[in-house]
Parts: sequence; structure tokens; C-alpha cells
Amino acid sequence: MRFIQRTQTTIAVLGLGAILIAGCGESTESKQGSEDQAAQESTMESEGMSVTKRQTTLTKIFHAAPSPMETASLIKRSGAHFHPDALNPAASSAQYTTSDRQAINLGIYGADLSYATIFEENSTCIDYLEAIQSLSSSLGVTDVLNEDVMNSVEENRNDRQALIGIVSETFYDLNERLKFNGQEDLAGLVVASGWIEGMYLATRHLEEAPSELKQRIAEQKLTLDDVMRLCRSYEQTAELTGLLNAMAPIEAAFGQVVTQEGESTTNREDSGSFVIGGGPTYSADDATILAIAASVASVRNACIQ
Amino acid sequence: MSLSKMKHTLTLLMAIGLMATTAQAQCRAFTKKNCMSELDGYIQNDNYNSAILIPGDEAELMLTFLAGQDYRLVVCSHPVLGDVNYTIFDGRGKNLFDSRKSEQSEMYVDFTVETTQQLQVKVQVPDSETAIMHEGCVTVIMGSKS
Repeated sequence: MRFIQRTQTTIAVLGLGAILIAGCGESTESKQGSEDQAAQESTMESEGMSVTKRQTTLTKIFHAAPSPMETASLIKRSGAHFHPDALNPAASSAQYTTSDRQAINLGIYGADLSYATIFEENSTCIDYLEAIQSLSSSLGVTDVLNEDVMNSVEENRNDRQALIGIVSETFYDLNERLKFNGQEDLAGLVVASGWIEGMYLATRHLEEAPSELKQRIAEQKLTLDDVMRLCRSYEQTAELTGLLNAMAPIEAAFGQVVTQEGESTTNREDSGSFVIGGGPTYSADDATILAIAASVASVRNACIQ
Repeated sequence: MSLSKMKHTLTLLMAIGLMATTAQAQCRAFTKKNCMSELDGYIQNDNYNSAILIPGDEAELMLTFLAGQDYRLVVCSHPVLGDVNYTIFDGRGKNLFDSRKSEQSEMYVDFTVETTQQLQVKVQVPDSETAIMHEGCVTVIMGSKS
């Protein structure tokens, strides 16, 4: 018994020692700076690897969904205009006081921010970044939208590409941080609500929408599938399950989208990149597009309450 | 269970948890330092997809790619894992790209889709014959531009 206890204690001490070494590594490296390049290279080599104790192989399933920035880009490319009245006002951020409402509206504001950034509404971007900073701090993620990032936003407020880069990196870091903090359910709420808001913005003012936008909306049947699969892979809290259940009418409306299968082809261009042609096509009549718009609006309006 | 035994078990569980956390933290740092720069010029996707894998492991990702966008798919892995391969399949399982047959950089592939479609990416860590087997970080990231 004493031997087992000693073994357990030894492993615990080794584990804690590893944490301390890892925790101290960065400051040691920064102290030495460029004077000790060899030590830095050694750290680089060992970072992200170690001797494994695992003997059996596995298949890791990753889940992902297109970002709100991609949805905003397709809205703009289809010739639609910016509609500021469709956004959830940034000033409403203070009314979200529980972690699930904060995560949901973090996703909503993320999509609004992406939409404003793509349409170069830079002063609107600043308002939404501040709202996102407030909500992410409330969720315990204080270092992603820190002072340096906010200063960088201010310095680049007239540079669309720089702002797009900052916003994309911010949401990647938020996703990474929530997962790392064991808050995957909140990461799921952010992704799902971001998708809902992106679709809400895409389906505003359909009467002036070109046919290309309607085609792009029909194709979002696939991205909805990505979002549902991603969110269902996370631990199902009551809040996440509630949001996914609320999205059932959206799934039903997208169920009316017609799919026509097609063979994929690949061609390589001189630049070295590939063009994947063919593949399935998706279409929806006006009634289906209106049903999608109505179901999305209903869920979205409940989200921002 | 005695109080002493409970204390030791708790300490052990905490240590194991902290070691796993450290490995994940190192994977995050590895990704930031060695992978993200491959997406320069592209808008990075929001999703963080990294895992610590061993030789013989596989990883899979299914994602929708939107018509008319240019994409870069980056499969970034620690050199200790050797030549990590990846393959892209369409929704019907047709092989569209195999990194082993590519003349391009092995770490990423650039492509455009003419129609919006779901593609599946399969990543394979090669087997190892060495006596001491290492685990390493593998990250799959996407970027787009229009």
C-alpha cells in the first residue's frame, strides 16, 4: 500500500514539475532573448511533442463550420447592400447576464461584426468589437480582445483587410480558448448563433435580392448540417440542446431545398491550385426561401431577447 | 476508502489532468508559432482543430466549401511524426486530392470549388518502427478569400 501511495505521489510530483517547467519556459526564453538562439530552437523542437504512453491508434474526428466572415462575403458578392437596421444593437450587450445568453450573443455580434467589416462600415465595427470584448470578458476570456488588439483595431480602422484579419483571428482565438477552458458547450452556442445571425442578415430584404443570393441561401443547407454536427459533438447542456431544438423549424425549411447530384472533377491551374468542378447543385423556389427566412428570423429574434 | 487513499487518488487525478492540459497548451503554442503563418493572405476559419496524435493515428474533417471562394487547407504537424499525409474526398467518396502525389508544398493545398459542396479531409500519421514512440501535435486549419 505504501509503495502504491509513493508511486502515486511520485507521478503527481513529476506531473506538477512538468507544469512548472512548461509554465516557466516562456519567461526563461524571453529573458535570454536573441542571445541564446540555440536554446530557443531547442524549445521549438520539443514544443508540441513528447514520448507517448498510448499504444492503440485512434481516428480523431474534427468538426468545423464556415465562419460568419465567409457568409458575409457571399452576401456582398451577390450584390446585396448593407442594412444597419438588421443588426442587433451593440448597446444591448449589457442586458445579457447569464453565460448562455452571453455566448449566444457573442456569436450574434460576431456575425454582425463580420458583416460590418466586409461592408467596410468601420465605425460600426469598433462598436461591435467593444460589445464582444465585454461579453468575452464576462465569459472569463479576458486576454483575446486585450488592449493591444483594441489599439491595433484603432490604428487600422480604415484598413479593411487588416480589420478582417483581426476579426478572424479574434474569433479563432475565442473558439480555441473556450475549448481549452472546457467550455465547448459555450463554443457551440457561439458557432450556432453566429450561423443563425449570418443567415438572418443574408435573408433580409429578399424582395431586392438577386437570384444568386437565393441560390447561395439554398446552399446553406450544407453549412447548417456542419453546424448541427459540430454542436452535437459537444457535451449537451440544457442551453445547447435548447438552441439546437429551437433550430428544428430551420432544418425543416431547408428540407425543402432540392439537391441534384453531380460528379466532381478536378483541374489543376498554372498557379498550382486546384479547381474542383461539378458536384451537387442546390435549388429552392421562392416559397422555400421565404420559409427559411421566416424560421431563421423567429429563432434569431428569440436569441437576442 | 480511507482519507489518505482518497487524498493520493485525488492528487494523482489532478496530476494526470494537469499533464493533459500542458500537452494541449503546448499544441496550441505549436500551432500559433508554426502553422498560422501558412494562412497569410487568407481569412482564417474560426474553428480550432488540433489534436495530439501518435504514429498510425488518423483524423477526419468534413466541411462545406462555398462556391467561388478560394481556399487554403493547411495540415500542420510536428516533424517528430514524419510525413503526415492527407487526402480530400467529395461527398460521394471520390478521391480529389492526395498530398503524396502532389508537387505542391506538402503542408497545404490551394483550391476553389465551382459549386458549394461538402468535402472530407482524411489525415494519416505514418506508422513508426522505432522503439520509443512519440506523440505530436497535428492541426488542420482552413482559410478563404474571395
